[in-house]
Amino acid sequence: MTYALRRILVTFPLLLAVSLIVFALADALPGDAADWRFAKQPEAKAAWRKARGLDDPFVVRWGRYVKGFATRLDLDRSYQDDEPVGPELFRKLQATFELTLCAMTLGVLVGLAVGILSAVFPRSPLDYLGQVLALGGISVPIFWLGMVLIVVAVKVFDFPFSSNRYDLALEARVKDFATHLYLLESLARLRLDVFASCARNLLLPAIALSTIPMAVVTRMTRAAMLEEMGKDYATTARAKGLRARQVILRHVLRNALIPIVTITGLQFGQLMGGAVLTETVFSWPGLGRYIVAKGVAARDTPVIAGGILLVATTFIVVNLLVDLLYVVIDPRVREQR
Amino acid sequence: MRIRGFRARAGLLLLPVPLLLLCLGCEGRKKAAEAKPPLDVTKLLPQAPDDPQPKDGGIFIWGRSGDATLLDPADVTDGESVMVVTNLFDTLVAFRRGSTEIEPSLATDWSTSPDKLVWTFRLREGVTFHDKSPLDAAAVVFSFERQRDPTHSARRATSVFSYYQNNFKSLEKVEAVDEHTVRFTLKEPYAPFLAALALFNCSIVSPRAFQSEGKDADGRYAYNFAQRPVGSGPFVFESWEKDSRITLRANKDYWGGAPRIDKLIFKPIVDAQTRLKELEAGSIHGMDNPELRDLEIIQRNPDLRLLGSPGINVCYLAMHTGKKPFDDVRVRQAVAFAIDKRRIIAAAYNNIGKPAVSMCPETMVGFDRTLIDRTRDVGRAKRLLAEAGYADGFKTSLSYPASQRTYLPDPPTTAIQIQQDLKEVGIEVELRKRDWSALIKETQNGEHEMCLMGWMADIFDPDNFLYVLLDRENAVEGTANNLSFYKGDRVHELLKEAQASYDIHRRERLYKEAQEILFEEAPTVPLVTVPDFRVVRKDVRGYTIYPAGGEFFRHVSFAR
Amino acid sequence: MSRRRRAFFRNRTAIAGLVLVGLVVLAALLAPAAPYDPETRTDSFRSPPDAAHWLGTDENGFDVFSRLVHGARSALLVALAAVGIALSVGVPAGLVAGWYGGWVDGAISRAVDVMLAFPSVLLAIAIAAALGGGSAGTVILAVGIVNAPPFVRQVRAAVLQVRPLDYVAAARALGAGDARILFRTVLPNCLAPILVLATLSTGIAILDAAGLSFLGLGPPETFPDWGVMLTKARVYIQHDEQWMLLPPGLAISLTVLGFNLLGDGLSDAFDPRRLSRS
Repeated sequence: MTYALRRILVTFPLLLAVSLIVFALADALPGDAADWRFAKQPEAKAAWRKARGLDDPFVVRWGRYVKGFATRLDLDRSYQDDEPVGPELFRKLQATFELTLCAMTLGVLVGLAVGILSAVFPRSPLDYLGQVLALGGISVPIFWLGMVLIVVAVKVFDFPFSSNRYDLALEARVKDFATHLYLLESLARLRLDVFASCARNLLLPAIALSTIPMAVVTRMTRAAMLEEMGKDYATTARAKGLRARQVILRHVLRNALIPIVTITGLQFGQLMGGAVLTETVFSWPGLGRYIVAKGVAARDTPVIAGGILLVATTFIVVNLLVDLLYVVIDPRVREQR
Repeated sequence: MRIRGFRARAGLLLLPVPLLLLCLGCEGRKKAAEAKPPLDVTKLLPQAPDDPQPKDGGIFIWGRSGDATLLDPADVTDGESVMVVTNLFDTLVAFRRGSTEIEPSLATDWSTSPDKLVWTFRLREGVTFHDKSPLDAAAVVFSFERQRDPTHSARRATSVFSYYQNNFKSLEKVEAVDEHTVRFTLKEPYAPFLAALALFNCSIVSPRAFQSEGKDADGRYAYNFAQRPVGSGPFVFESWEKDSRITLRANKDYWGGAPRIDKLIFKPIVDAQTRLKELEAGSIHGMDNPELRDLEIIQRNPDLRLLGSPGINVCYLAMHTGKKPFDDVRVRQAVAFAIDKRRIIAAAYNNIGKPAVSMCPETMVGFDRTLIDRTRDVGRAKRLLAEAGYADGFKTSLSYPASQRTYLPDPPTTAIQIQQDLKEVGIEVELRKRDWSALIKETQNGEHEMCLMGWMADIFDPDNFLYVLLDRENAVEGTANNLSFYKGDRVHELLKEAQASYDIHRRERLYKEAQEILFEEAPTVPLVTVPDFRVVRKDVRGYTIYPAGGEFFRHVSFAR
Repeated sequence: MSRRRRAFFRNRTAIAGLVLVGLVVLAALLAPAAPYDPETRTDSFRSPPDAAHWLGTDENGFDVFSRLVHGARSALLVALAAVGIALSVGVPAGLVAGWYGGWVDGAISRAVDVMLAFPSVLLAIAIAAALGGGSAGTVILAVGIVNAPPFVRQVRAAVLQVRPLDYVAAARALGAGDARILFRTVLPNCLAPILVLATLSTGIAILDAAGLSFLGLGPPETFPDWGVMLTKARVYIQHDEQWMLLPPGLAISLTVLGFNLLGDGLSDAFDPRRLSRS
């Protein structure tokens, strides 16, 4: 248990360092949104900077920022309208989280299935498919894949394409939702019309984004399965007459699963950030696109800093959870580290 | 290796997949492409038909390219905020539907003193704000005072009120004569005054809303008006979900007649193609800023109606006349001779839009119709450069915005065409892509050499183009709108004289002379004027483009 | 070494990768022989492929084929420069961390942990934006920095492996200084994993750079760059010109595929287990 405790404690200095980097990068941005807002009004801008405490030393501002986030989950106010950016960022974070979750689920399920089958039936057509997935997912630019998907979906299948999370006509049906995880919450509340609408709007971006974890998981699963199947215990088990499927499912897969869980956790965080390209192609209202469209393009520094900090924090927390899960799956870890 | 070796073959399998998919996609497209009628922009109507017996009710969703930044009518500067504000508030005078003419609104009639310095407005009686408080002379004074007085309580620490700063320099005071009469006194004659009063920043705001939550420590009203605006307009503010939607509901008690629709939603959809997709799917009912290259697709679609009106805007190339070599008029003329406006319009505007001759668009009164534009002449440009001592050309830079604007739908292509045009006369141009706010900062400080910019009418008056963009009073580093930093004395005299005159014929003569000088001096090269386009679904009735800007949805309804 | 080379050349994965990468390098080398200058417009624009313009022209009047070929050059230059930065930051840091251990190792490893706490795409966006964006240089720097951490980890692990070995002790006994041992003795023995990682990272760097271009943080639009070409093609996905998606998209995919196959092939060839089995 000490390992778990230490692992949790390490997270805090890590978060602090992350916030420093985020804040420094956002601070280094040439120009900011206020240049446009106070165009032709240098005095007004100076007064505004003073009122917002932007002329304070870097460390003071960073300290204030960290304190605000740690105590009130406050992410400072926008340079464009002085409104807190936090609520919107959290809302967008949930959108991206849902997209990532779907992509991840799709990727892991397909990846596992194809990986196992291609390890069990090497050189079969399935194995070829596995290789295509494994190589394609890491070689094809995701935004290009997204564009090709759009062309095909819209032109060939006449797939209704939308940049909403659900059809606006259903607005009254989601008004009482507690979260912005519309897909999950509509399922939990059994509002199937909302669920169907959310799923339809999520489908294309989720498919595009899923190719990345699909590639990694396929590759990992296949390699891990082959590795385990080559080990003595598996050969022995088979020699003893256990049916191949039993060996695979009960022993080989279980051992192979450990590295797969790790990689899934790592992938999740990468995907949350990587989703920015997918979100941009599909105009999906997620956090990554918001950071780029609202933050970087308009130079709204708090949006950039807050957005990246939220993604990094989610990433760190997910990795922490995975590491803790690891302890549960593989008891050896407890003593080892 | 036994197993891994054929990864190569599998890799090659990757190839046909996207190829196949794309071919499938192209197949679908071809059919639609066969019948392709040429698009004649001049035939487009600015208005969806009115319905004699419109249907009541419904939610109307307007797709646009961005979210509003704030909703305080006096403090907004961006088009996305303006189009919301124009539906929430009333002004004393307003633009007639679909026109640039001024008509009575909150003021039923008005009179001026002989010297045109005192303007007296009679207010419509019985008008109330959305919070039920009365709209009286005191509210009008309040709405202007808070913009004038830097210590006013209804002003946030961050308020700028730049439209007031720019347009009402000549306003001395606003007083309530009685409950329904207001008097404006000017320091000097200002011809565009009445037109300026129709502008959104002159919206009348509810003083009671401001006062409703008391004052904070530094004596300002605590009420956050920019997030929860209260006006008297045809729509009432309901909610704002950032970057997602702004919802307004119909004001059933509107003095001008309640809107037909129940709700009006503004939905930001950044990407124009996605916006169009949503419109085609029916999840929004109208949109602005379609991609120019999508117009043919829109016109072929039986579900959609493409509306157009000649835009009041100009996209131009400015050369910093305070810097070498652009201080030499021959160099500027050489640039003007080198630029091929027709090719720019073909490449970057899908052949839509008219070449601009003057910085005053031809859709604006006061445009000098006698000007004849230069035609591209590489030889002449080179001769002019040689005369100026640049026979071997020179190196310079061009700053341009990274994001598109209405008058500049494809900034990189426009910039590249200019670069290529100038390359052919020996001028080597380094392209400098800038984010919008960075570009504003760079150009207002005069840090650029050449820049690609544009202007849309705020006030329907030639002064709004010529004085704002080319007068030396607007060429002050740090706050410049005159991005060529042209400081011609004669032009300044002419523009100031025109500003003080109320005689339209005299003003036209003055502006004509100014435009002729500016054409010869070429501190800027006007490039193009782009029409305004909107798209609505076929069942939308009563929507009209307002050429002077803003969106007004009170007449919109759905077909029965 | 010769056994390894044989193993490499018997590996069809590696060969396929080598062929693909070779083609891209060839295109980059032969770019000056392209029919048109990629940054000078021709008389036609938005024209479909024909005899004069094999892949047609874009809206600027640039010849798409020539830009594609020159794009190979810039893709390689940007990716290699970025990997160069990742190497020159990552390798010394990894060497020092692995060799000295203690607080130096602690500090470097923590820094790597912090870097790895960011999704790399977002970090690259933030760095590129902070550097001002809009040029090939900022892309190289941003992509280079985010790709450095794996090198630190890889090199550190390799150093830890060779440090206790006899020949290192021997070098030390001969009185060699730390720097000498690190660069003359330790580094050469870590080359194999570094080479594999560098190959794979080149593919990643090409994808990262294209992504930055796509988000508007890439080089200016005149620059013959696949990412820029793809971004421009995006506006035509509803139009007759939607085929314009294909050349740059395929070029990026095949190049990255090539580097991935080559990296896999190299790693197979260097894998001692592999060697003993074949």
